[in-house]
Amino acid sequence: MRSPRGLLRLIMLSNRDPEARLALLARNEAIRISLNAANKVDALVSVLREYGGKKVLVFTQNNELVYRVSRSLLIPAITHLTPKAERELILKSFREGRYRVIITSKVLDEGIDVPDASVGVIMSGTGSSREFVQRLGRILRKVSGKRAELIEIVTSDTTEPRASYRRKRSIDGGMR
Amino acid sequence: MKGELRPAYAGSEHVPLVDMISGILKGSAGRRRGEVEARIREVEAHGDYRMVRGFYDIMLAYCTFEPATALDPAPLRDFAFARMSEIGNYDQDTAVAVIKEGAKRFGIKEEEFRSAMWSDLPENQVLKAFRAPNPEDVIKEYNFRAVSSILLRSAYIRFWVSDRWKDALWAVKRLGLMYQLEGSSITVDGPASPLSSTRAYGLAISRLFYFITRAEKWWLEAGLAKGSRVLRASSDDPISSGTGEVTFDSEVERRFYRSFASLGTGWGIRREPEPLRAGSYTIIPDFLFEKGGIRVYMEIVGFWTPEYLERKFRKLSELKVENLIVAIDSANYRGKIPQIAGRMIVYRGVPDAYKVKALLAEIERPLRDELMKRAMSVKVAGDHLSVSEMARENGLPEDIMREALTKARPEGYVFDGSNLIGPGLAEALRKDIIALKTEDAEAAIELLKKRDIEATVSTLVELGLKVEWRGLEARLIL
Repeated sequence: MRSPRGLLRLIMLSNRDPEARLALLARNEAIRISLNAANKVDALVSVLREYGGKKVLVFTQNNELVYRVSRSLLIPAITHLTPKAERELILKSFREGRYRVIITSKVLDEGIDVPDASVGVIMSGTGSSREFVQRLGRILRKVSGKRAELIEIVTSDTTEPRASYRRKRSIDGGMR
Repeated sequence: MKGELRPAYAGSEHVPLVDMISGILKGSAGRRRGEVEARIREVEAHGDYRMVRGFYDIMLAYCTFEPATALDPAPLRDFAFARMSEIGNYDQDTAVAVIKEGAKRFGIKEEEFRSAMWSDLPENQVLKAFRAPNPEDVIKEYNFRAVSSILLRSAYIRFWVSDRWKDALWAVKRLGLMYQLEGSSITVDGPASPLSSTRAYGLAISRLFYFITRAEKWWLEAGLAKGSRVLRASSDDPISSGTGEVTFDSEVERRFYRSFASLGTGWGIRREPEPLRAGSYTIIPDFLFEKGGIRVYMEIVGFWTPEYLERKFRKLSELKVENLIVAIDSANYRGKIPQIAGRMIVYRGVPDAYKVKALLAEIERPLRDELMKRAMSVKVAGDHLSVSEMARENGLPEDIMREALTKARPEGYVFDGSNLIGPGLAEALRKDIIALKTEDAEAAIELLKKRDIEATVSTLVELGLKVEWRGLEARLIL
């Protein structure tokens, strides 16, 4: 910092500036989301224990969460940042059974590259739209028939459970 | 009165803020991008966060981020994922054990393995170098972007440039924007006008802004879609002027030109002819087709709406601008293509040269019939007339004049395709040639040329002389 006096002036300015306050609030929100994410990773651990041995596809549209899970549980991740070659390698390894679990923020295109997962896990959060969940349901149904299971991880202290309830009604009955 | 909208320009009072961000970047060499951005966010909380974010985004162009390690992360990841899957216990303790195993396998430290595994993610790349820009430039660039972002929400943009107007004009054209030229200013329909592909159109608009600001002096006025507020900006504002090179995608024009030229239509094709002016209204065609004095223009319109096309065709018919083909791109419009009177072709990718050829023939037919009628009524008087002179004197294309004379040869005249020779002169010439007493056709042609007749072998035949070909040589049979 070249001018500490400049910073001081800015801090003073921010007392009067509603936008600066908004930015502070946004930071607090980010911290809350991050705590929330830690709980979700724990929940995912127990889901994976319960479904040990089955092929599991984990979805969330939150990229940060994808990499957080990938890093802490060593689960291969597919996002828009994944190079094409690596994406193909991950899907191939999943089909062949070298990888049992994958996590992705992309709904994989229907028809091609559909991995034969029997369990789908949605880690909901900001950005998981209803269309996303419906499409996911279709993909899993198509691949695994009636035995596909769809699990949604929600946190209880937010508005998420209500959103999830609405979603379940919109996916048809074959799913749990 | 319309409300005026002034963007929140950055000014010299923001130099300390720019310096502060610059200082953070200077002091962040070797840090991960994620860390750098966390430090920037600290500043955001204390200043105008939009400016902080904006200045940082601009300064990113002066930063070089690279992965911290030369180790390829892909095999490390593959090892960890496959091993984790093999063990099958998805929990943090197992993950730690797998990383330990991987580090041993690849002969590196655990911590190294952990960081190298994700070193290619943008947030993990480290700041290798930062060249601090001039704060004034950052501020001007910020203002450039501030105006651009308003232009993206505008219903129209009217602008004027003091120089390089041709550049701005062609920018409007090549970017496929919907425009109207009246007087000395140019009005462009904004992306907020009803249009399906607003993102691509918005991008084109901000590139146009780049060309506007390149002029010595300029002004623009943009009307916001909602409400009647108007943004005014000019070269007097602290806004950076377009520097460097922005290239157009003129691939469509280039490819159409090539496919049309290789079709062999008999039409000449020229790119970027001069603008067509009709009153105060100007049209900038992309191509000019020419054939025997007939001129047809073509304009390629990348972005359009039915309302825009209607307006354009109405204007054209009011101004009696005929012979203009409008090619519209169907890719940027999702609705039903409207049926609008006028010569229009719809294309996707590149306009079809065959369709254009068919349209040209359609335009040519009545014009040709009209010209032919005039050519047929040309009065012939004199001993020797050349077709090119007759065409010139009567303002007719040569091929039409020739065709008319072939169809209806004037009574008693000899016609060889280029010359009309009266009965008296024809007889005299025939006698002179016979008097040469030569078999050499070249000598006979020479004689005619001396009398100002651009003759060929067919002239001799038409004069009633017998010609026989021996190989490539014509001989007179006396």
